[in-house]
Amino acid sequence: MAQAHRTPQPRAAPSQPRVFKLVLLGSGSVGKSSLALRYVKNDFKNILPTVGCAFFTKVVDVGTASLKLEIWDTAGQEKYHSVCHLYFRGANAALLVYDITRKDSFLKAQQWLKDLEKELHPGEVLVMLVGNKTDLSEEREVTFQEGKEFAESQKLLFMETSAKLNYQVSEVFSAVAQELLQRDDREDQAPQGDAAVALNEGPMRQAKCCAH
Amino acid sequence: MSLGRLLRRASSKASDLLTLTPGGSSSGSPGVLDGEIIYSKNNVCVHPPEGLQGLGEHHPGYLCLYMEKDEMLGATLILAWVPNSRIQRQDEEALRYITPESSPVRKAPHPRGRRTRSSGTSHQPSPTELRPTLTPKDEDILVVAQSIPDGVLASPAPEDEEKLAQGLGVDGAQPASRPARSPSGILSTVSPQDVTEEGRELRPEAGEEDGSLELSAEGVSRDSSFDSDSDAFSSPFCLSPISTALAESRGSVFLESDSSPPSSSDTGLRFPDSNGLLQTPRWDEPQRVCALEQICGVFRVDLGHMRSLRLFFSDEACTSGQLVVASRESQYKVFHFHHGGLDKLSDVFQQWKYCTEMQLKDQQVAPDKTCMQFSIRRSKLLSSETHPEESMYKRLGVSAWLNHLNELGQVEEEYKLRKAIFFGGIDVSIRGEVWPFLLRYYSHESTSEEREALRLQKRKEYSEIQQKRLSMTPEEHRAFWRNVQFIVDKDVVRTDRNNQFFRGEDNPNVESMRRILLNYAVYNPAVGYSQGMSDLVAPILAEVLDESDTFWCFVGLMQNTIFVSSPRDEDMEKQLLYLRELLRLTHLRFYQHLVSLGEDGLQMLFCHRWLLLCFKREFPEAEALRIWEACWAHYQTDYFHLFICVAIVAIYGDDVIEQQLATDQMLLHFGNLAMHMNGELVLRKARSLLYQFRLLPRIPCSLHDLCKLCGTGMWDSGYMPAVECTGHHPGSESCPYGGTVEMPSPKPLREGKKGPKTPQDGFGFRR
Repeated sequence: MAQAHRTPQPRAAPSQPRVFKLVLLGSGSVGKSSLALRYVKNDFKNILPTVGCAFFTKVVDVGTASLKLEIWDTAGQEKYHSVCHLYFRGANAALLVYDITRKDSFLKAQQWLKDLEKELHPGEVLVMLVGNKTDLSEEREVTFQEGKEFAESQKLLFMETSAKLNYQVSEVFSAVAQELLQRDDREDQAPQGDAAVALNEGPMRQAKCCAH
Repeated sequence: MSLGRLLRRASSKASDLLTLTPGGSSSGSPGVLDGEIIYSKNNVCVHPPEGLQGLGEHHPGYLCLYMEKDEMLGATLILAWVPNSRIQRQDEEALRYITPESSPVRKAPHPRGRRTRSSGTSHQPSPTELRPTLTPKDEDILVVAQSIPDGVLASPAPEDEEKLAQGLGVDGAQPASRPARSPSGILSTVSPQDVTEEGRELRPEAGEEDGSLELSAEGVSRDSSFDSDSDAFSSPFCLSPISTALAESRGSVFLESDSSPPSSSDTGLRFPDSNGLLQTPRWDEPQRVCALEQICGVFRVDLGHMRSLRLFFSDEACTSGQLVVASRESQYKVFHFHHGGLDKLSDVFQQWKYCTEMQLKDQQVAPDKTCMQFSIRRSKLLSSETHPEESMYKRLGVSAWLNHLNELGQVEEEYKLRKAIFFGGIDVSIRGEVWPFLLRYYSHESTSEEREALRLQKRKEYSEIQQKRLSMTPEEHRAFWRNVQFIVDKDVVRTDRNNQFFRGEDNPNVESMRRILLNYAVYNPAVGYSQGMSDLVAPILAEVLDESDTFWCFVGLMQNTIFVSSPRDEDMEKQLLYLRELLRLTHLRFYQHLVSLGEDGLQMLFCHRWLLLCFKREFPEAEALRIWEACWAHYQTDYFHLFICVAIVAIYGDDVIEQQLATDQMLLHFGNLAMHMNGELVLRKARSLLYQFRLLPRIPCSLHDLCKLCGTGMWDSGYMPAVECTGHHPGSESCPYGGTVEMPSPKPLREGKKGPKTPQDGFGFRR
């Protein structure tokens, strides 16, 4: 749906698409890297556990607009906690990923949410809860309902996916992208006209980058 | 062949040829023959520094100078010193140092055969015995190639010598008994009285080894009795083939020697309580033994890469005294010539083209006995991109490895081994044999027998750990499964799948890896399992093969990597701090770029994985393991991995600066380079960076610890550049490293030529 063709708009043509930072959070082995790999390269394979931090970009078209997602893939077992706030900082969106066959990964996702809220102002970052590995539904420990209820209680977006079967993966990212654009447009309309959309991008990123 | 004949043969060749070298106009002159010995002298002593004494103060040895081909300059002068104890043992490796590769004495084919054991016996040296007495009584053991043509350089007349010997300076008045170190790194002078006194005082109870020795032709053989072609390395549970070879060959490959000199460890390692502890650092006993072994071990340097050579004469005739070699890194080595020969050495230096004699200005002319100083000037310093010793080391193969072991299977000179590995790496065929030493599972001083005993004991311990894991209560097991086993099970089947060793379904080696990781989590519950460990253990298992041995090597690795300590953030912070400082020092433009990005940039996210997995995922495995070995060698620094980081940035980071890449873009840039970088190039660059770092005359106090833990190596003095306070010491008024605040930023070293004026530090050990 988001992949619909569009004709480049005159004012957007010379500028870069708006950039949004999306960070993948969750326990080890829940499938964060697999979701990213499926989405960015439409591939699924045995990948090594993430150590440190990996980084992908993907340009997404949403309706007539286009945006660039910077996907930060983090280590589920990050031992160096000081970097966590680096992941959070400047993030526009976060995917809290858990494995539907592991209850503890669901609990851990809730913990990540608390950590996020500590670092960021409410509403500053768009959060989506993602229950991965629906292909293993016979081993399911977290029901769809449980996930949904928690997400609603915290005003999070929610979806279940399977990176392995390519089920709802691009939908997750598209939904986030769409929501990000809407939020951004709402903010932009307040001060200036639409010319600010393209111009706003640089300074905004910059400010977030360097903010203390 | 007797040592005397050997020397004579060497020198007669050398004398023909010395005529071509001095004043050396052209580099690569065809007349230069590799390995020609132009000077040699026996019973030249090394004295362990204060604080290390107790194993005998005199360590006599054989010193020689020979020429070696040098790519840039045609010829260079090598100084080698080998302790008598090693010669008496007919230690092949040691003998190679003094009978260079292409030396004529090595060209003769020698039959393999049993050597007769040296008949060296100690006898009480008498005070009158000033004549060199090491070997054949009918030979004059001081050998110098003397046929220098008059046209090139006249050998100095006595008057000249007087004139040249003006080096004695103002410091002569000081009561210092040791040469003092000046800020410029040049050794300042010593009063003749002191030197004389020392010399006189030492001579009577010298206790030097006078055993005559028969140096047979086989002694210089390069061949090893061990066949390097061995598949036997892959048998995990048997006695290692090298150990076996050693066990079998005892007394054949290696000669027994019951005439060990007092310096040998055989005489018991008793240390008298040193009274010198106030001035000298405290040495733990193992440290002392280790340091002593290194300081009194083989010493070999390319004089062309030194900073200065000094001769301190202690007698009227200017024949005895000390030779002090100073490296560019401001480390010193003192050789004591109790039996003359120093005059001839000064002749050689005067004739050698890049030894420039220095007139010490600003210094009062000394009355008579003096010191001569030669500073080394080479037309061009070697390229800054390459460590000058880069090409001197080959990969450590089986025979070279065996040469590092003595007859008991102990590593003879740990420092040399580590250096060889640092430069050359280890041949794949013996990695499984050598890695356990690098990973501190085996200690260097352990004998083959002790290691076999250790393996048995550790195997038992390992099975006890496993037993503990298998006998958990159901609740314990559930928790263990959730926290550890679940992830380990997932990770082992996706680790190093491209390695033949782990390929395929139901591979028993994968099962071994799994058990090692699970057992480690039981052994060290505080650390447990964290992702990435499988990356580290897999290559060890693939080389060491045996499960229990691998486990204990892995334990050693975990203790020595930051990976395990990274739960504590400050460890990672420390690494990043050092890295930032190192970048500031060596790659200012990149550092400034990071600064311009603010805190996010300075966090250097792009290198976290480099550090955590020691570059495992940045380079193809063969190159990554080469890097591991270089880091594990702990040569001159415990932080070589940071030099690797800087090297990567230096080689692959230009785009980052030119395009002013932001934090995330940098992550992408370096992430995309993973597995596409040239590991050998990076290693070479990193070695040269370490070399450059060690040349800095002063370093910021923030990097004070970077090189301090690695001992002195073969030098008498440690590496101790001036420390400059960069001024962030919360909770402390003054710089805890004694850093001074004179200059805003350290500058790279230009050859310091300032005269020695204000000696600051005592010349001695520092840690």
